[in-house]
Amino acid sequence: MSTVNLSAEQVRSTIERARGTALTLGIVGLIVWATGLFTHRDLAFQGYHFAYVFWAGLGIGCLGMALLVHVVRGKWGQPLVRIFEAGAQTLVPFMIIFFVPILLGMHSIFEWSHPEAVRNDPIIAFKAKYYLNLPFFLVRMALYFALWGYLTYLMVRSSSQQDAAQDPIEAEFISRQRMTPAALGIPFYVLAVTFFSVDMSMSLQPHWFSTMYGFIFATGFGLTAMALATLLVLLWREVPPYKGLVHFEFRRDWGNLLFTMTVFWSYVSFSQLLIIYSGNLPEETSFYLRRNMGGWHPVSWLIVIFHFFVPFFLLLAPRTKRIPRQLILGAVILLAIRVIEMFWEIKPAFSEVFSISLYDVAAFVGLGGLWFWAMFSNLLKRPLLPQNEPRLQEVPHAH
Amino acid sequence: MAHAAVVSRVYGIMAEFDSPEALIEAARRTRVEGYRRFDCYTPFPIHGLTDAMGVREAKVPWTVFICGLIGALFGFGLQVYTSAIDYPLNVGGRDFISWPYFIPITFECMVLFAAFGAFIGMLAYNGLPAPYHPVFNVPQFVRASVDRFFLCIEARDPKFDPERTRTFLQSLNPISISEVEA
Repeated sequence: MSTVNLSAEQVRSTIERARGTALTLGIVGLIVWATGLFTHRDLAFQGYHFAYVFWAGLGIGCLGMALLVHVVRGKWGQPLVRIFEAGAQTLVPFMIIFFVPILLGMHSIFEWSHPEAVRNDPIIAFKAKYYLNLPFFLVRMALYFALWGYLTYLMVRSSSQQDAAQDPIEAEFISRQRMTPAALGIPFYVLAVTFFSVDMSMSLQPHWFSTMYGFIFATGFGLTAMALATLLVLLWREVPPYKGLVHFEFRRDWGNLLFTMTVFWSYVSFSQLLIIYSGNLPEETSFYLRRNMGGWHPVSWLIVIFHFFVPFFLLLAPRTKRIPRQLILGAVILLAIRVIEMFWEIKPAFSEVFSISLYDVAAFVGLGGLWFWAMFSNLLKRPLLPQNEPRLQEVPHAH
Repeated sequence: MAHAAVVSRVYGIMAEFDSPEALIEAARRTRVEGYRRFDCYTPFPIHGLTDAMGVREAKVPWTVFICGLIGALFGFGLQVYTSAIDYPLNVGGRDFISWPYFIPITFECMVLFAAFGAFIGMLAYNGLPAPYHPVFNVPQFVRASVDRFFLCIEARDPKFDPERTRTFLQSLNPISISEVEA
C-alpha cells in the first residue's frame, strides 16, 4: 500500500514550533518552581503535586481514550487516536522520571507519611498499617505505571504495524487483533486509575473516604484528554492532513462524547455529594466542609456552573457542533474548568483558606510545558493519522 | 358549476418516481421552483431528502427542551412547596430547602416531561393520528410502502395552479402524474 509522505503533513511545522515553545515554558516554569524549594519547601512540593496529578491524569486519560477507540473501532476516534496514543506515551518514562520530586517531597505532601501522625492518630495508624505506608505506596505506583506502560506499548506497537501493513486484509486483521488486549485492559486500567486517585489525592485527607472518588477521577481524566484532542484537531482543521477531514459528522460525535462525559462526571460527582449530605457524618462531610469555607465556596460554585451547566447547554445545542469555533469554545471551557476542578480537589487539603501560590502556577506551567513537549515529540514520530485505516477513507455523506 | 366543484375538491397533484435519487432531485427542483407546501412519501427514510426539500425547522427538539425545563421547575417547585412552604419539615436539622435532596426528583420530572414532550409533540406536529388522508385516494399510492417514491404538491400552496403545476411536474420525468382528490 502507499507509503506516507510525512512532508505532506504541513501541520508538522506548527507542531514543531509549539513543541519548542512548550519546552521553553516548561524549563522556565520548573526553574521558577525550583527556587521555591529553598524558600517555601512545603508550598513548592504541594504545588508540584497538584501539577503532577493533573498532567499525569491527562496522560492517563489519553491512554483510556486510546483503549476505548481501539475497542469500539469507531470512525469518530480515528483522527484523534494518534494524539491519545502520544499522550499515553508520556506516562512511561516521562511521568515516572517526574515522580521523583513527589518522593522527595513526601513529607510536605502526605500527612500519613509522618511517623508522628501515625503514632498519634489511631485512624491513620490503622490505614498506615495495611495500606498507606511508603513501601506499599511505591509498589502500587510501580504496578500502575507498569500496567499503563504495557497497555500503551501494545496499542502503539499494533497501530504502527497497521501503518506498515501490506494490504487491506492484513490491516483489518491487525486492527481486529488489538481489540482483545484493549478490551481486557480496560477493567484493569479503571482499577489502576481508581487506586491511583485514592493514593495520590484522596489520601491527602487520610480520614476522609468516598467510593465514588475513582470514577470521578477516571471520568475527569478522560474528559480532559477528549477536550484536548478535540481542541487540537479543530485548531488544525485547515492544515493537511486534517484539512477536509473534520466534517460535521466528526464534530457531532466529538461534541456528543464531550457532552456525555461532562454529564457522567456531574452524575458521579453529585452522587458523592448527595450520599455524604444524606449521611451527614463528621468524617465524611469534612471534604465538603473544607471546600465550602475559607474562600473555597465560590470555587465550588464555579465548578458547578462551568463543569456542568455551561457545557451542558452549550454541547446540547446542535448548533455548537455545526460551527467549529463554538466547539473550540466548548473544549477550551472544559479544559480550563478541569484545571480548576483538579485544583479544588487537591489544594484545600493543604490550605483551609483559598490561595494560589506562585509555585502552584510555576509547577503547573513547568510540568505542563514539558508534558506538551513530550507529547508533541511522540506525535511527530509517526504519521498524524492512522494509515491503512478504512474507517478514515470512507467518503463522508454530504450534509 | 361542476367544474368549479371538482377544482375545490383537489388536494394536490402527485408525481410518482421509481428511485430515491429521482425523488431527491424532484424535491430540490420543486423547492427551487418556489413551491413550499409539498411533501414526499417514501417506503424508507432517505438520506438528504429533508435537505433537498428545505425542511429547516426542528420543532420537536425545542419542544422537548422546553418541556424538560418546565418539568425540572415543576419537580423542584413541588418539593420546595411541600417540604418548605406548605408543611415545613425538619429533617435532621437541615435547611427546609435542602436542594441536594431535591435534585433526583427534579431530574426525574425533567425526564418525564421531556419524554411527554417528545411523544406528544411528534404526534401533534405530524398531525397524527390521521384516520383519513387524501393521498390514499390515488390507486398507485399503495406502492409508497413498497417500491415507489411520491411527491405531492398541495393545492393550498400559493403558487399552485392546476395547469402549470401539472406541466412543471411533467418536466421532472415522473412515471405517472395523478390528481389527488381531497
